[in-house]
Amino acid sequence: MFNSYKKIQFIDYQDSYIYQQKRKKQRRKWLKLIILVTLLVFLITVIVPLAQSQHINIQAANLSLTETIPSQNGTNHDNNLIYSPQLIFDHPNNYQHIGLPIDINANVEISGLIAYTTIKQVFINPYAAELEGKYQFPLPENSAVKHLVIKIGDKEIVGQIMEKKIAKERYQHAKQQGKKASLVQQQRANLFTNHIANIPAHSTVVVTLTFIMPVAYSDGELAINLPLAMTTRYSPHQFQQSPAEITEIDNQVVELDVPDFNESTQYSLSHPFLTLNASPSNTLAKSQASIDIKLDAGAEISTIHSASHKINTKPLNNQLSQYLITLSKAQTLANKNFNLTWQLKPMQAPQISSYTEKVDDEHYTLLTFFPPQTKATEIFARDVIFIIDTSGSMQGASIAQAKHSLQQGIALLNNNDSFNIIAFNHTVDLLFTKTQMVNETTISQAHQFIDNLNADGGTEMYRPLSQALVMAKNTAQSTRAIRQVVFITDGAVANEFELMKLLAGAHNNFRLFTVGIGAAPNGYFMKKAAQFGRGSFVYIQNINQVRNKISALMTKISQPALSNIELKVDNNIHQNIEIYPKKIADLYLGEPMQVAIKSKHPITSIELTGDTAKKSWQKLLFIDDTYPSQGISSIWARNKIEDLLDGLVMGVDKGEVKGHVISVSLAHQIISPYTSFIAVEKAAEKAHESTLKKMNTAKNSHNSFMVAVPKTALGWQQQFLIGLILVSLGLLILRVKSK
Amino acid sequence: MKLIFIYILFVIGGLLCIHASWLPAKAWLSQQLISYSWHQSIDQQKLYRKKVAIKPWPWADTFPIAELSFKRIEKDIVVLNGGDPTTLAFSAGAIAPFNLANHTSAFVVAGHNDSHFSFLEDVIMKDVISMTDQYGKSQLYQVEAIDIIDASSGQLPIVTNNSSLILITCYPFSSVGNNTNERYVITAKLI
Repeated sequence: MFNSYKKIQFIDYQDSYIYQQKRKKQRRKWLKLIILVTLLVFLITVIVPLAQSQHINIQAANLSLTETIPSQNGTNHDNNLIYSPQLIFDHPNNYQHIGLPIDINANVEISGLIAYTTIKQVFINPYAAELEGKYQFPLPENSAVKHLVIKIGDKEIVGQIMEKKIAKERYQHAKQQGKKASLVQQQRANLFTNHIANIPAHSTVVVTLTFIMPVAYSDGELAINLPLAMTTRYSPHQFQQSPAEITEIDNQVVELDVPDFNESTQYSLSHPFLTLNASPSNTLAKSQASIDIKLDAGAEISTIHSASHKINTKPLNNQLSQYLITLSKAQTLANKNFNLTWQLKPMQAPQISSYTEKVDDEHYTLLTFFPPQTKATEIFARDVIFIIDTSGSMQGASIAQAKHSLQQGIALLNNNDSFNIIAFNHTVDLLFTKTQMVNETTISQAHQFIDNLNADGGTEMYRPLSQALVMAKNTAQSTRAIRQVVFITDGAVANEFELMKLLAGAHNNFRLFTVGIGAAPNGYFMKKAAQFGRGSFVYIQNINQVRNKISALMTKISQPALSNIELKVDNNIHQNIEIYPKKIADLYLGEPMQVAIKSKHPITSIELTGDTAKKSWQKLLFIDDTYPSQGISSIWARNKIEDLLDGLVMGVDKGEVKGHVISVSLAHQIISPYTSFIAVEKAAEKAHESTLKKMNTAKNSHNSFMVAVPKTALGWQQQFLIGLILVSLGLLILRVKSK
Repeated sequence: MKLIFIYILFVIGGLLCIHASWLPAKAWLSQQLISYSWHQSIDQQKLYRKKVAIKPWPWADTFPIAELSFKRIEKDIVVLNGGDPTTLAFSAGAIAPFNLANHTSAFVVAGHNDSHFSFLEDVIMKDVISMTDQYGKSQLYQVEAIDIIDASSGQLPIVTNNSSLILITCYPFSSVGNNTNERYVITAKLI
């Protein structure tokens, strides 16, 4: 017997079912492990930074708890304070950056639709070191800064408008001399900022800012809003809450400084620096924030109201159009903006009020037109021509918006109106040859016409526009009907100048309203075109706005309170009067407007003529210049600059325009594209300087300054250690298990 | 199941180690870049004769402003501008407003005790520190006081017009945590 080993099948034991299962299990385990690891890595990369940021937050919270001075001073770090008027210090501690004014004096003179505002703010550097600061003031929209003075001890920084080139030279010069100068920057829209270097310890900074802001008007209600956040008054109580050393040191300084100081010069005791040093708490506690407003509304006021503060009002004349407004005495100025609203008595007829100012032997008169507040019962008959741009650039969403706007516009026409539609690309399509009265047939024809519009081809705007201006009026329409052209386009044109010339040269019996469509319409062209056409510009950003904006426009243009306004002054006395805007627009309901006039001699009366819905209107306006207002000349200058710049469009020589604009801008301190606002430091007399320096050093030698101590340990060893412990723990468990 | 737990331990531990060692690694790497940009800016200074601030890396929001060298222990460190946590992660930082190396006011530098300023432990009284400012001018300081202060209030009083050099780091040096309230403060006076 022999065993045939050949027959023995060597079975690879690893192929057996059990082992296969085992391997499968192992593979699964590895899969699980890999998934787990990736998960963990993900978790850690996400969670670790999160945890760290939380850690920092906690740290920050702890820090703010330790701060006593600023938090007690009302410096809370609410977001709404970020853009309030303040002095931002270059303090090492983030929580002590913000310095709110301790005292505010605001003087506002309201003349109709403008408010001439002078705000004096007193800040102090409460810290024991010389710091740098940045002054910021949130200007109300469309306001113009006229003047800025910053006083810091012996330094005075004066801001004024200069020609750009000179401003730049001045800036360089001042910089080379080691003086601080700054071109005023616009950080955010309407945030006025100015850097101030070297604010001595415990010194006061007095900022006086003068600007003109517009008064907001809506539905017969007028309002101004002054940004006025400030701290509660500085009092000794708060001083003691700061670390004890500071107070002690300060008191020593006071004793040391004052006699020394009096000996050296005859320096006035009322100087804020000195008084502040002598007894910081007492002087400042007396300071009284104040707001004085002289309101000359130009028409009878029915109510005056402030939602933010308690106010006292005192009428100044019998017509109840002028008031003096002050803060109630018991009122503490809270950390909020001051707002004032007043309502005019509802008027049946347009009301025109006048304000005058005399600057350098020249007389400025501002006429403010208030529309009546009655709902329009009389409706103007209109002759409306819609022009719609169907060029290739309007393709897609734009043409849809435009068509929608057009349909909306047609739906809002009355039976008194006549209308027509002109669609253009490089060719012109007319709905009718002349305007047609609104009725069912013409409207349905119009809808059909609109539905068939497609965006394609080039943009030739000149022809449709000129056609719209000369198109024959329907014979059924009354002769008094106003030709209104509603121009719906994205404004992508190359021949702007030509079109403007066409509009400027056209006769006066039409109004042009432009409707901007699409993502980025040529806003400048459309605004200017509307201005030349004595109309207005509406911008529709997306299709959802179409309904509201078009209906607002159509309602507005259906109810001009006064059209074809003309001013007449005695030509014998006034040869060289300048009236801006040159083309006076119509007065619409809900939209007051202003006209500024410059003359050599005071204007005592003006004859105004115009048209209301049914009849012609005229008024003889007597102007009383016994109580002059401020800021009238600035409004005139602003309008003049705008008019001069429009000259560029009309082809006036660039250099000529520039020269005129600069001279107006400098004379009236109104900013223009050729001028800039620059703040340059002016050193005071040397005597003061030296004494102050002496005082500063004397004081500094005793002063210490609190510096925030940063965390100066990374703590990586701790983390590393924990990691190591975890790894070794794992190893240990593995060891124990395997046994 | 237990095995998974062990693996988790390994992974977390490993990651913690890697994350922890990333901090000193970053500190070391950044110091190399900073020192390079510092020497570059000093060289350019000599060429163009005006102040040049070169950022150590393009997205940095700080720049080197001075170099401290400790003669006896042979340590050099380039100091950055600013005392915020991000700056301190890269190098020691000069705290505003004491960040002007013009010898008229104090110059205050803070750094982490477990990375850039770990060598402060070795600094002893009468040691000479040389500070080079942005213009390449050097000035010698001598250590005149070493204090351990309690900084639980988060503030440190500093004499403003004294032209001394103040170095701050956390204390104690070999502690594992990062939540100490004590600070090691070295004051060196101008010589």
